[in-house]
Amino acid sequence: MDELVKLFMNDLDDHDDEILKASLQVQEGKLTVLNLVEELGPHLTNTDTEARVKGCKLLTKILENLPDTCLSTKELATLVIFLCSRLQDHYTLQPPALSGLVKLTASTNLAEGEAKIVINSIFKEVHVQSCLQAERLNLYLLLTNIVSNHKSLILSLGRNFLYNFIQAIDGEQDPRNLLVVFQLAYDVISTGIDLLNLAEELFDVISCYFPIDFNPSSGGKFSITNQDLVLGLRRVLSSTNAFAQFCIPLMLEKLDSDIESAKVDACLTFSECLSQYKKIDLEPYLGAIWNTLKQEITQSVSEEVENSALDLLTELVRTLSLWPVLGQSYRMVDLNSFLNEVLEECLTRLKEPIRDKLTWMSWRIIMACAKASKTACDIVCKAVFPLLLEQVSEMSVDASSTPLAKSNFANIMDCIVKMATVCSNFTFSYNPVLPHKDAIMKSFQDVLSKEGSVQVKCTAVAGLAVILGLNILSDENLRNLATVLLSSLMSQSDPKVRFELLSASGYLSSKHPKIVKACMLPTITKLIPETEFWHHPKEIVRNTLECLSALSTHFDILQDVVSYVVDFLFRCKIEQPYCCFLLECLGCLETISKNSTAGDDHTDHLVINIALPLIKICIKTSVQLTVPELCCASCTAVNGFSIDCISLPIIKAVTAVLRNIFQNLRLGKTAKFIVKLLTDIYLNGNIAELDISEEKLLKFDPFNPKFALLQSRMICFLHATLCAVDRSVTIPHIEDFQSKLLNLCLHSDDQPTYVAAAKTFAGLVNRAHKSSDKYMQDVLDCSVGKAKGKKLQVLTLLIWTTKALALCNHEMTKAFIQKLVGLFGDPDIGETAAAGCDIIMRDSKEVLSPSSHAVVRLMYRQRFFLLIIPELVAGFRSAKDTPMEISQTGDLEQVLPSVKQAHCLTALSHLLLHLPKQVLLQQFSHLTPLLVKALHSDDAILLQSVLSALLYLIEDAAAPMEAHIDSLINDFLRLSRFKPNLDVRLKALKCIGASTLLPTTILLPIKKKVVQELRYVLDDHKRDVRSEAAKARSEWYLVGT
Amino acid sequence: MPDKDNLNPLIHQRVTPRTRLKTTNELDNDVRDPFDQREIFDLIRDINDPEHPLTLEDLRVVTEKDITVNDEEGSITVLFTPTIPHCSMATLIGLAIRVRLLRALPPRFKVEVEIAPGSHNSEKAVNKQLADKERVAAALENQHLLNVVNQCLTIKSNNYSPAA
Repeated sequence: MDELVKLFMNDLDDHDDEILKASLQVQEGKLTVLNLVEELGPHLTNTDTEARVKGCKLLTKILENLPDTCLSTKELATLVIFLCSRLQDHYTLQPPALSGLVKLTASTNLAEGEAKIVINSIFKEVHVQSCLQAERLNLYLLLTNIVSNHKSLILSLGRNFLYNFIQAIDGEQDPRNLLVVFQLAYDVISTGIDLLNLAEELFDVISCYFPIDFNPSSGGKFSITNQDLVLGLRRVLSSTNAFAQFCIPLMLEKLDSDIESAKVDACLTFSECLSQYKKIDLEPYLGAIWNTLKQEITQSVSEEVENSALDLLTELVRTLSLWPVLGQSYRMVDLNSFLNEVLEECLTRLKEPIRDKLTWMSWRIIMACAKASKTACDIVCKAVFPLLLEQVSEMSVDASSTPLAKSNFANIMDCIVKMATVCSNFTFSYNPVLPHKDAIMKSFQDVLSKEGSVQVKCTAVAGLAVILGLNILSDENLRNLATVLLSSLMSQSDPKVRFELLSASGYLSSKHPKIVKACMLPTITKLIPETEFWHHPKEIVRNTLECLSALSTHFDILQDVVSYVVDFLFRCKIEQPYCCFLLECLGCLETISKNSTAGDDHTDHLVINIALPLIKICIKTSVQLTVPELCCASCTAVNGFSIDCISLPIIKAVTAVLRNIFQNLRLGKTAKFIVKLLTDIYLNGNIAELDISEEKLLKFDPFNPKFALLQSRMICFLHATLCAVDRSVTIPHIEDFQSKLLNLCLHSDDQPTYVAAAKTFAGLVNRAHKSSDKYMQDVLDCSVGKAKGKKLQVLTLLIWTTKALALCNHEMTKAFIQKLVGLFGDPDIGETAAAGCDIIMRDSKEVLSPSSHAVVRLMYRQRFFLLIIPELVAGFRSAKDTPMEISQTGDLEQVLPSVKQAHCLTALSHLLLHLPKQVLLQQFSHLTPLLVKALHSDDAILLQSVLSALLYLIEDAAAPMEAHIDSLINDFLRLSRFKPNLDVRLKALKCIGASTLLPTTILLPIKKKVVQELRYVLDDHKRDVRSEAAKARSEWYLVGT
Repeated sequence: MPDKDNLNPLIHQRVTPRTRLKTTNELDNDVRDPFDQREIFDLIRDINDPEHPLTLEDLRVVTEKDITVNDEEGSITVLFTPTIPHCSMATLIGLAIRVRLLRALPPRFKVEVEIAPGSHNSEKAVNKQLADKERVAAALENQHLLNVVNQCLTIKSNNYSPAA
């Protein structure tokens, strides 16, 4: 301790450790505060002021390192008295004394008496306005501590405290301090202290900052923003209704100001204040507020002001709704009278068609009032609906009407729907729309039955749905609605109208399945004839099935629809004439299975009634068809089953349906049953389980690459079922599956087959990576053969397995990545290998997606990127160094260095598109040389992807680009005249345009050059390029203005 | 609130669709696309009105059909219609259109921006001002005026924006 004192007194620097030690001793009780002060005694009482300051500083520093509750009440009392008396000493002693006191007041052990002493001596001894920023900050922090710990003290001090407090915060200008002051003022007010006649003074001291317009000079990471201050101030201003009589006039004045941000801020602040204000506060100003708001809404120059003013109006009406309702007494204001005034002004204008801004704004005002509260909505609706319906009945719009009349009609329709939507926000005992429902429904129906624009029809259908949502329709209304929807569905052909109609029908079905069952289903199902249905016109079939899938929003309906559709499927064969019809049906089932996510019962029903029949139909075909030439026109005896075989799209559609169903399947009886069944069928060929027992059938052996191609293609059902089902469902014999899949994938020549096998293998690896480790080495050891065909199979397997491993963060991912990047140099499959990066980064819909319950670790993309980047950079460099490369087959084959480099860059551009910017920022320095190099390539496709990556970087992570912008802009300008490819020019110009997002100081030096150079592109022979150039150039002109 | 000339302008429905459907020729790098009315209209439709938070298209100050283009001879005429005949902003609007086209068209074009006949009280005077190259150049030397013009040309639908 002695040493420390000596060190400190002699101005030596390295005393931090010693101070820590001393504080530790105090903490452990080895050193008491008394000892400490005694030790420092000679210095604290020294006649030399500087020595006293140092002594005091040391004491403070030791105190600052103590935990808040370390000192006892008694110790605190001693120290408080000591430090408070320091405040009376020389003024240079005040700063250390203050910071010591901040520490002491933070302790909850401080007695109230001492807190009072602190407050009194501070207000008495410290003249805040002549202190430096840090001391003022300390003082505010000290007050904050006391206010939060000693609320009752503040209340008992009352007016005295308040008076001194106002004086202390008066004239503060530093934003850092202001932030604390705002918080402190809020704390003080929320103690519930009586503001008495000081409310005005306090308000003046605080409100003088409004509206805040603060531009932080140097934007450090933790600097205070304008928003922080605005919110801080807003919280104080809206903290009490005692400010009302001062605040309301101020807000009205600021609403009238010329500065847009001030208006918006005033609206928002006022909205916040309203919740505090009582009737008595607000009543005298209502007229003035309404007048100002009206002016702002109807005459503003900015949408933001309009919207915030409308929000304020809503908030005001909401507040008014909480007031007690008055009788017919004279000169009193309540919600009714206020709304009447508003409506009176607006309604006169509403009687005219919406053509000008004023009428349009009147509508918005009315909507804003209506959505405020239930009562307000009721009042507004009662006034507005008769008016609207009157207008509708007067307007008879038909094909011969003028465009003006048509647009008026559309506007009125729109208003009706909007008003009804507002009503749907509240639950009424007597809905204000109820008396008008028939008229409204009729007007919507009229629109649908007549010729008219798509927009109006869509509005009408949406309106019907809104009315349905209000729950005010009687059964008769509902039946009527169902008929209208049905007949419209039959007659309307526009896709937008149909979409609306289908959504509305689905809504009706979910709410009233019985009505739909009685009034819609029978008619719809009759649309497809029982016989020769496969020759039925495609459009009718599609529309019918579309209606059916849209109606399947209720389980009852869904069951009916499914049995209806599957029944048709059983009557079809996988043959040419049925093909179109089959695909339509499967599309319908896919929609149904996608939309039905609710409930295990539903899923179980779908498994039994859709999935099983589909699998049965497909497998049955595959064991019946013995020779390719019987299959379809594309398959011949010579070439075998073709890649254009009609069965492929059907299998694909079936897979999609199966996946949708299995993704929702949870562990349970059905899941166990179906998984066991599938295992039995695929591994043991036991198709008797499916009731397929005709004679002259092939055996089912899908894993044999040389046996029956059609059967091998059925492998894709596996990744839609086994790899899609919930992970809690265990798959029996998973290792058998894996080894057979591996064999099939490597030995099949059929592209769909080996891709499906690779995907399924990857899906299983991802699910059970522990048990599949032994296969990993097999995959890695697969050598890329000579023949191009074989190479692709290995590559496919490699890419998908890498994805499976990367997703679950497997330790072998690195080895797989190395092997993959090694293939980039291969002349045949290098490009495909590079494209593999896209597959790995992208969310696959088919397998390995979270919805298929794959193991997906957080941030796997980032990890994969970090793993592959060193490989890519190394690959890029090595390709540059060794112009000759021996391909893996052992042949001496010259590979152009740019080929591998190009593939590395292509892979990189794929990676960039899927990565969050934070990762890019970290790796930016490694990437820049690659990207810049790529900009000098001639390969249009590569250029495009690199330019997209750079565009993405400029838009998303501009900061690190700043240093390179000069050279990049030169490259962009060069590429903006890249003759051979239009898209390269377009992308380059987009990059130039996006560069305007960078800080102005960097752009200004090159502005002239860019503007000059872009002039030549303005006359490009392609229009797209020209308009992009014009856009970029105009933006550049605005730089720095 | 500064006084406006037209407190309550008519707002029109947009006639020309926002996106232009591309023909196969436009996708072919080897075919030259000629400048046409629509292209010029796309350049000026989003200019902001100096008085209201609306575009010239919304207020129907400019329409596609009031534009004539002669690509070979390099001449373009744009007629614009002020919302009211005594609009004091007519010159400013004309200037904004001019500047926008000056910045966005290759220098080979001779651009004329005029008030549609019969739509303004002092049509001739305004047209004369807008046609006078020296006056336009002098106007753009005026920093305040340039700021106002730039404000009109700051396109709201500009899509160079950092992705959220």
